[in-house]
Amino acid sequence: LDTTLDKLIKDWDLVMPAPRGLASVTRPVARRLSSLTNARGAFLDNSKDNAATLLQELGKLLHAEFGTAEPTFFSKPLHTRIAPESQIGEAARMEFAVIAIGD
Amino acid sequence: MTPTVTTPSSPAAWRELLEALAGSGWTDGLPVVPPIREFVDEMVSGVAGTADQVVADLDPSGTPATIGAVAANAVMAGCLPQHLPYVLAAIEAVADSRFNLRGHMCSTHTSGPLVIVGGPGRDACGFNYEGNCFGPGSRANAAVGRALNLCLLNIGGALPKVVDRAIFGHPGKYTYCIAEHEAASPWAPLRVDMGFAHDDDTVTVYAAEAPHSIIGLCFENPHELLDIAADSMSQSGLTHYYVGGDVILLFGPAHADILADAGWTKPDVQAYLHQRTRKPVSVLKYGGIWGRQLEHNRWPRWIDTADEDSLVPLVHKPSDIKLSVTGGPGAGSSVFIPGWGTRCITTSIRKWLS
Repeated sequence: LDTTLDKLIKDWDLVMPAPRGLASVTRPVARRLSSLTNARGAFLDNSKDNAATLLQELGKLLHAEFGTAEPTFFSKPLHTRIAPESQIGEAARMEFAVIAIGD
Repeated sequence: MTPTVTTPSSPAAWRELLEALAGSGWTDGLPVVPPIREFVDEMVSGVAGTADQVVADLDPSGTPATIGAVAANAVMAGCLPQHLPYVLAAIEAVADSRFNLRGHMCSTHTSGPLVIVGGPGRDACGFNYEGNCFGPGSRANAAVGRALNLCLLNIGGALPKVVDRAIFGHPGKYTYCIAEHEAASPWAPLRVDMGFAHDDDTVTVYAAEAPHSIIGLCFENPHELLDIAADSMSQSGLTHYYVGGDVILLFGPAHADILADAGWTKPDVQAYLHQRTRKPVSVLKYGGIWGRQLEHNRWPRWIDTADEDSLVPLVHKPSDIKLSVTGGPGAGSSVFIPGWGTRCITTSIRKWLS
């Protein structure tokens, strides 16, 4: 299909309405950590119970298996709103962050 | 170098193109108008700005939505050049953090992006605010709402079942656009409530559930009308009881006349509905996301959760009940539109007019 589409884009002079696949998105990717040892992690859930459960378990595992610092947990006040600047700012001071949603 | 463009004209060539576009993942499932450069360029040339100018970064992918990409999606949706400023304004509005586009497009909730057009320019563009305004028949309504949704799919990357995790989805994710019937309204239009000038042209976006009908042909005064409206709005399964946000109530012209004849203002109506749409803790404690963990609900501080007779408002403030008038003549009907629990966002189209 892609070959056909590519030919049609050229033949018909079409303007592409989107990047070809999410891999082409240009949003900057977080810097990779060279080591997780003693790295401080922010674990932000969307205020739903299953998200918190998942993150708490993940935080424990990373600490036990990879030597990260004790996890710091955050919970958005409300799942329908973006996280407050204060939470994002505090999380940004850590070496890594993990977010989760859950119903 | 300008590419050499062939223009296949046979039915088979057209079919090949339409089927390739249908299989490209760039559509909502319905056939699209091919985004031929000439069409897209014509559309871009009608607005202030250049094709590579970024309107906003669109979540969930965070991809920059350029005027050119938005115009390509607008062509695909069936827009005319004069519709593009409305689409661009809607893109800006949904990218406002108060709309929480990432959450809305990834949520399991049954909501879609509603666009409400207001202002003197809506007639020239053909927006329908009379009979069947939510239904088919108006190219402007159909194409502008569809263009926004195509942008959210193609640029924002809200791929159904992959990124968009809606349990049921929403028909408004095809198209969901109306206009205000300002001549039938006894009040200032929605954009004035949202801080814009009366003579501005605006779009208001809202993460909306379906319109819920409120029928009543025999109301003799505002209290009768608003009591039935309040009862129709008081469904304990609504997310608003637990998280707040805005809701929308659209009066049909016949119902608006009842309120106008009695001299009721918008604040009068909002205050009345805010009182009459409350539900007791004894009912709400079973619903929402947190059930009996009442402390997680986003309730006003003055709610006594230990008292099961305490009444919880549908939304936190009377002004969170957004009011407008739209629809055609005929027997009395209004519609209530709850949502995902976020805010209405209004933007002006003026900056996009060339």
